[in-house]
Amino acid sequence: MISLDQFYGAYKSIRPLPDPDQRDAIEETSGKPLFIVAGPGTGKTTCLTLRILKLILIDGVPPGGILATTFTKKAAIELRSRVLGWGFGLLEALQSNKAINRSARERLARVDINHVLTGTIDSICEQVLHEFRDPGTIPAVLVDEFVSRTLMLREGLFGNGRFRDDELDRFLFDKSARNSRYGWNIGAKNDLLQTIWDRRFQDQLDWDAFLRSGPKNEKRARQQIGDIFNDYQQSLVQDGRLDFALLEQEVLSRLRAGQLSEFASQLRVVLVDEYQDTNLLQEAIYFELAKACKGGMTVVGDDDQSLYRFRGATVELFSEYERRYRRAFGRMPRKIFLRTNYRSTGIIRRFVNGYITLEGDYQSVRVQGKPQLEPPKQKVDTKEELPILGMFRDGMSDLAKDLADLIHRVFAGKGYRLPTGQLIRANTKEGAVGDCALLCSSPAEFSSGGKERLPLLLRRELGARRPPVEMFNPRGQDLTGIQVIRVFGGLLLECLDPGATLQTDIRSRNHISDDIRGVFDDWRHEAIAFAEGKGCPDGLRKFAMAWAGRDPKRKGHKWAHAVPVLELIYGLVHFFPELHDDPEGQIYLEVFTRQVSACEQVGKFSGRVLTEPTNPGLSEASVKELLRDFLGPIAAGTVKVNEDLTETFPRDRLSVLSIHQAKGLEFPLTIVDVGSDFSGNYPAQAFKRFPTNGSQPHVMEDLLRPYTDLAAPARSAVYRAFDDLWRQFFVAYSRAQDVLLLVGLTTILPGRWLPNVATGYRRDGSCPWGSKFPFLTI
Amino acid sequence: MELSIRPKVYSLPSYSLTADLIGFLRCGLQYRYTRIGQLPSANPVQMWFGEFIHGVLEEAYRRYDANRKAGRAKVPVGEAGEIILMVKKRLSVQGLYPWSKPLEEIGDARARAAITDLGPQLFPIIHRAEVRLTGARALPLARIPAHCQFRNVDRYEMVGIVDVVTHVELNDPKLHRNQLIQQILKGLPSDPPDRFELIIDYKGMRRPPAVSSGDTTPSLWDVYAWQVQTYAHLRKGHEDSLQIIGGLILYLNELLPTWSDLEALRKEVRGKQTDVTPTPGSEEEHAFLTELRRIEGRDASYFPSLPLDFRLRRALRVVSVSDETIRRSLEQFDEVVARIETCRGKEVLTSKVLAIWEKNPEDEGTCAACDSRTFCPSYRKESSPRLPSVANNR
Repeated sequence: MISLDQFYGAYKSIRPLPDPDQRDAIEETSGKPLFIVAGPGTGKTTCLTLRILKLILIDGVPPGGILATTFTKKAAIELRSRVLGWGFGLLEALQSNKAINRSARERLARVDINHVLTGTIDSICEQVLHEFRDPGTIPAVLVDEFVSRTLMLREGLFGNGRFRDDELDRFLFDKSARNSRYGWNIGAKNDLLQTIWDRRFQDQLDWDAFLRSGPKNEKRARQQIGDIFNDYQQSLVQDGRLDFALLEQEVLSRLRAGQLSEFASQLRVVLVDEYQDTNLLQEAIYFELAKACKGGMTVVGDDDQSLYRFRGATVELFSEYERRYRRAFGRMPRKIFLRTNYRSTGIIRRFVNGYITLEGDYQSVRVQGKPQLEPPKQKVDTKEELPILGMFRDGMSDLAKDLADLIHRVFAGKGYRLPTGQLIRANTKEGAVGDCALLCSSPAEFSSGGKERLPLLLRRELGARRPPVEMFNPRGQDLTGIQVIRVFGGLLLECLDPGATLQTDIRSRNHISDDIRGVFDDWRHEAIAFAEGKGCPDGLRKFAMAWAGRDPKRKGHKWAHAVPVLELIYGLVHFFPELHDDPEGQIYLEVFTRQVSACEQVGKFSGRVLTEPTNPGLSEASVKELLRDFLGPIAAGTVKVNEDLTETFPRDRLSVLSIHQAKGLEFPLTIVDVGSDFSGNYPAQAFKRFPTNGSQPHVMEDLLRPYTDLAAPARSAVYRAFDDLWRQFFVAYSRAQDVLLLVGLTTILPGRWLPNVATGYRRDGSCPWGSKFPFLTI
Repeated sequence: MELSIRPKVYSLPSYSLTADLIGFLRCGLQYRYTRIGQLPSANPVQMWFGEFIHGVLEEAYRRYDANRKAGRAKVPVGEAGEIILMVKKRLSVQGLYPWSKPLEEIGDARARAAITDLGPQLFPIIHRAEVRLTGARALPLARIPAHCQFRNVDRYEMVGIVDVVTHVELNDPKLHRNQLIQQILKGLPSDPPDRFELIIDYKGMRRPPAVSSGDTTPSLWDVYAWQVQTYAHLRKGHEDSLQIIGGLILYLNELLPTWSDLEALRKEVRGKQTDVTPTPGSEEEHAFLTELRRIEGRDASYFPSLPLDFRLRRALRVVSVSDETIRRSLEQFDEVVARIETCRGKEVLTSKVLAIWEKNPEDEGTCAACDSRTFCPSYRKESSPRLPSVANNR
């Protein structure tokens, strides 16, 4: 349609031109398979976007013939935004270019970039199953994690009393990679079953072979698992529901049976981002789609940034992609490395390069021939560079205090001066604390044992300074600890089940655990104190007491037979401006309403409160269901806030993120918690610091992979556990743009007594950083 | 060293032609809670019927299409009961229920009428159903105050799903007696080409009063017409589209009106607020007047007996499409997007919701069904939450 020069000429008017590596990837013809290995900050989304636009504008591929997927919803939105935003910018520039002949410009005018199909693989699968279904078939409803967990528990584990089976218990405990039976309960068993269920499809297991195999003492347990899964699947399918694993499996089955040929035949090119976190099932789907494109497939990723083994990702599908592609299509894809890092300063880049090559043995699992990250060729960087910084203290409190001091000085004061005399300060024009983030293995503010963690101490320290600096940590905050949630939850409990009569009556600990009962009791006390306090809004007590009474015989009134619990929720919300007039409160309110929807899906009463004078048992059952399936999971802390509801990270708050969440993001000042929890040599923490065994994902791989086409992993579980830690901290360190600060306890300083992968320890226990720290201690 | 500024995420806002455009125009505050905040309605009666009737028509068409491909084009009238059950089951899995027996019975009856009365006219001219439409437009930055601009993008994405697109060949002998085509041709201003396309949009509601927009608040009558125009605009970019000469809005409740619909129609006829009235002196006027006399004492699910031709005329609204009408509608869409973006920007700045979002207390129907009415600063009729269905029997 247009020439490459015209394409770049137009692009130059809106953005800087791509580098030679990127150009190689962008310019390759549509039919040529590409394997793009892109290090952090090398512009892979830019490259992918430009390749899509080049295919459309130069090669004439119809936009509707392009399918581009990525790993998260937010990444998919960003990719689509770039395709549309840059695409229309390019089209406008091209159409105003009189050097392009008229017929070409007329053809450009007819190009509709909107038709490029983008999304996550799950969103694409859902869309395809809906749009290309046969008459007489119900479009399946995709269930969320709570619904699938509940059905697995209720229909699977509780079915036929299987949760009492000792052999099943022993088998699951053996595969849980736990050090002790502390915390080993039905919920933990259920989680493990859910993992096996997912991997059965993700790894494309020969399920019958798995059930038949194993040592004699496992026979019964394996059979029980087979029965559990049959009952679980039956409960989903009979109501027209699918979970994520079944959704993808269904698409693969239909593709293989030729039932989605109408969809597949419209495709010309398939592009997949973040391929390092793909699994065998997804690979099979992509290969089926690529067959329809005569092998025209581009994959982009970085094995060093593979973080999702625990969700079934198999990094070898990426690192061995060339071999696997050749086996499927009979030819080799072209491998292109993106090596120019546009994100970080030279010092950070060299530190990151050094870190990922520290462990000699790890190099053998990386993509062969991988180059180091390089600086941009044209960029003349006159900006002052700061050394990598390290802040290590004897105790977590001191660490939080000093870290808060640094953050406060940089973003709310005159800056923070280093021992070298250099000053770090926020950007004078538009700088804000949103330019900084704390990255942790987990952003949780309390440990599973209830101990306070660094994010919590830091929140307190920052809040106590003048002016205070607020923190944004929606995933790390314990919802059950937020004041408005506690009072609101308590009021709901007292309205539904005044005096906890029914709560006490629910005998089975499996339905409402002691922990949940404890939280419920706390909530009730706080709600009662609130309602009896001076600040109680007018009318709240009367409303709540009328609900609690629900007297159907009350003179002159008639209480409705069945009332959606949402009516109670919205009635109470009236009295809480924090929930209806504050954007953050809205996010908390959504937690309650979302869990009502989940409760409706798994329950018998559709989220309604029955008031049936002639059948009090039925009324009570409806309330018990709400306690168990609506409020119970919130009190248990298993329901998280919906991050899609937050537009972006607020500029006026310090973001605290898990390293997984930080993937794909960058921050001018990046603080990485490399071990604020490691005060002693505790075996339970070893997997986060210096593994002595494989963790659960590795044990699962050893258990299940022998029944897949991948065969058993050649590398030991503990080696894979080390590999995952290298990758995790490689991702964390490479988020930094200007300043990288490592924080932790002095126990894990290089060369001290606790070996720690994040602070430069090798698998053999040696620590090259011990002789000379690669950071400046502050 | 002075730190850089963290680059903003490049993310285009996406606005749909139904949930966003119409949702915001009904009431900005309600839109904030239900669409942006994803808070479900406590009594989603209207949502159930809308989803139900769309689902029934879609499934009935799929079966018709399968029959057609097999060489025997047959509307699945005999399968209506099965289709209705199937769609209800799917909706119940999604947590959508009819909530009352009378509502369910009305829904069932209308679904049967849609398959039986509308299907034979509509299905033969369908080219594609459930067509996904997307497009990007310049974000109307000039209409958004600078301090409310919180994104670094200059475009927005508009999305929608059109229920049906038709391909009509006027010379096709099979279509000569098609009542829909006849009505459509009457409604279009000029002679159509031999082959053309129409956009069809189902509405699970009665025909609204034909009232044009006021100065600030557009009427639903106009908004639905804009919607069809913007669908036409987006559809034009599809390779398989023909010349789009119009849109057809189908108000499905009119296929089987209840006595309360008839009562509403009487008021609109008297107030000259509707464009489709019984033809004076005709059989349909006789039926209309006879049924009005019978209204007293009827229950909610009583369906007056009115001629099919009249019901079809009430159900059908033809909207002609031209470059000029599309341009005007897109401008209106931009205007609404600017208003939404302004509210969002103000919310980011102030961290407040109630005072920031536009409200529309004029539409009593919307307010009565709104879960936020008791704390909405603009709605005065209720200032505290009611207890469930408390009835005073004194």
